[in-house]
Amino acid sequence: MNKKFHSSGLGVVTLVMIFAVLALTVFALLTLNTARAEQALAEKTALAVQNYYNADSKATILCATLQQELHDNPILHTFTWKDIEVQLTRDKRGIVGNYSCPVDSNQALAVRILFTTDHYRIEKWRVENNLSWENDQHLPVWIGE
Amino acid sequence: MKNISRSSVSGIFLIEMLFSILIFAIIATICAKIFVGSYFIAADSAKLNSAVVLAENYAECFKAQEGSLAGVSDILGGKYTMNALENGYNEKWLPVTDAQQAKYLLELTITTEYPDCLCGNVAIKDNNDQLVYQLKVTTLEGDHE
Repeated sequence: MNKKFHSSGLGVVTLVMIFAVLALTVFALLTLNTARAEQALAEKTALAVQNYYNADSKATILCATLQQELHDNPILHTFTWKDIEVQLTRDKRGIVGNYSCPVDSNQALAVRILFTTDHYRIEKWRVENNLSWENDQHLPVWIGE
Repeated sequence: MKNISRSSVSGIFLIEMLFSILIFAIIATICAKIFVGSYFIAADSAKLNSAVVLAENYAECFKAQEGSLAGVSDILGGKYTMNALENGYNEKWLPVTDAQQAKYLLELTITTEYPDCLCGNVAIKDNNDQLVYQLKVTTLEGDHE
């Protein structure tokens, strides 16, 4: 009879409680971690979009400024506007202007514009990586030795 | 003796039960706070993501329409005046015509800071007049292909 009393569920409640608390804590921390990661990603995306449109605005204003400068001074070879240097080359189609506006530390908006006598044509308006990288040609395969 | 043992075991079981419930209640309260905090962080992230997408839509329409607010309004809706466009959005980011139902207000204002360029400022505010997201975009006027 005494044996029956000693095995009457003492400690089971504590074990169930420990399991429930652990599960609850783990799920709560995972949820918080996911939410914070989502927030960081959203802020990063918002900043990247702002950076891109800032560079895009600079490139657009520079395009208009350059057109005006070329209209006033058609023999222009280089032009600098707010630390952005424009390389001007001439070919049979007209004057080609090349410049790049920084988007962030790793990317820049590369622009190439063809200026003719009465209008201009945007030939390139593309985000390019600044970082140089090399292909890894090393293949660590077993050659039988 | 048997009666004392039985009441003693019941007492210990009761104390264990109360202790477990107390610990569980404390941990559950902390976890509930974490869940609620995560919910609000996730809601903020979703709001920012939606605002970024909406601002990008308006910015690209503004560029495509070469700064014409009438053209932007035809595509994305909204009421426009000479140099400003407004559109209201509900909590699901769907456009609403009634300003009273709008939870978010998008404003697109045009400035002419540079010659031959139109600068647009896309600002999205919530109904507490708090800025959610802002994007500056510039487009060219004139002949280009």
